[in-house]
Amino acid sequence: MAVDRIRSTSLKRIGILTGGGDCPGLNAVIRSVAKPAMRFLKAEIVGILDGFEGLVEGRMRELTPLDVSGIVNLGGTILGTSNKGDPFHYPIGTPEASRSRTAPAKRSTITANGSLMRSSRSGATAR
Amino acid sequence: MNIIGVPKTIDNDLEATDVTFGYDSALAVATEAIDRLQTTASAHHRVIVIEVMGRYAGWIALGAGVAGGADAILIPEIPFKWQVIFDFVLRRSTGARFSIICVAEGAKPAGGEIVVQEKDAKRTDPVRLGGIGDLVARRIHEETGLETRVTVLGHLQRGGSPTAYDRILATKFGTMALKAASEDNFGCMVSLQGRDVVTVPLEEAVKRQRLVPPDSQLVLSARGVGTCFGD
Repeated sequence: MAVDRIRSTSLKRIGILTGGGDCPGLNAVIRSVAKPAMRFLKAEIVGILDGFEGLVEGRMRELTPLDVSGIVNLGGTILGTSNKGDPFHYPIGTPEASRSRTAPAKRSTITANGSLMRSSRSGATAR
Repeated sequence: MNIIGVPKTIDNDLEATDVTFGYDSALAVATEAIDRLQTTASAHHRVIVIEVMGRYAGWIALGAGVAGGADAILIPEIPFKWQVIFDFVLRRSTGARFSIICVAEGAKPAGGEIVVQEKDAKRTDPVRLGGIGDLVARRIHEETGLETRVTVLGHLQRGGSPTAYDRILATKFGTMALKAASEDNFGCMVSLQGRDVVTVPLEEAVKRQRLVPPDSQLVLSARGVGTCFGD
């Protein structure tokens, strides 16, 4: 896999979300997505805060190279997480849900998640 | 929305990848905890029950139990019989004079139920496990009279710095996820297959949990060194 040769003209903005219980290595994933994306694709990296709860409620911010530097050895997640953000508990039409639909972001989203993936019901939602 | 998944869980219970990152770090913590409990158990001639995470899978209990030399390992995949455990610790009380029992939070007696700490409808899985360690310790004390203590490892297992293995795996996963995104390969999850990181369809990834096969090599090895599974 030649990451240094990643080239894409379409990938302009990438969202990163960590959901479910925290897990050692999440920051290493955030870093290894964000660093090459910033460096080789010149893509904007949006950190979605506090897991799927933050996605539904539209909490996000752009990450800088400094944000993702020096974090490979850190436990937890710099983005925060939540295991209470099941999207099925935010029916379309609620203020939270509308906010998230109008929020900027999400050309593509990379999620590091265990709990949500276990449920095919939620897996379908994530897509 | 275009999604790419990265398999994250200390429980290591995803079928579509050989290993999830976080598992190795959790194992390291749980193994060290057992090491530390061995000394106090042997000094005081106690039965010490250590409850570890893992949800419905016994990977953490099995891995840490073998690495830490636990005398008994109780996992959800091998339902245990109370009397087998009572006899086991009683036998050890006259020999080694102490026992370490490593219990997965999802372990359950044959014909019995898992122990649930609370239910929260907002969670993806509303069931929060926990409490089997207490139950095992209480029953052992009641039935055998042996001095018994319980340690619930809880969130210590996900805390602190990731191991080198997890940092490397997570870094490979992240760069592969980005590569997939740059190739418009969405709706997939990155996955370790043998020594290679590849992508698999998300449908495959969420299909089922990976549980410990009761006849797996590690279970057989543990039995080989005299570990009791309570069955």
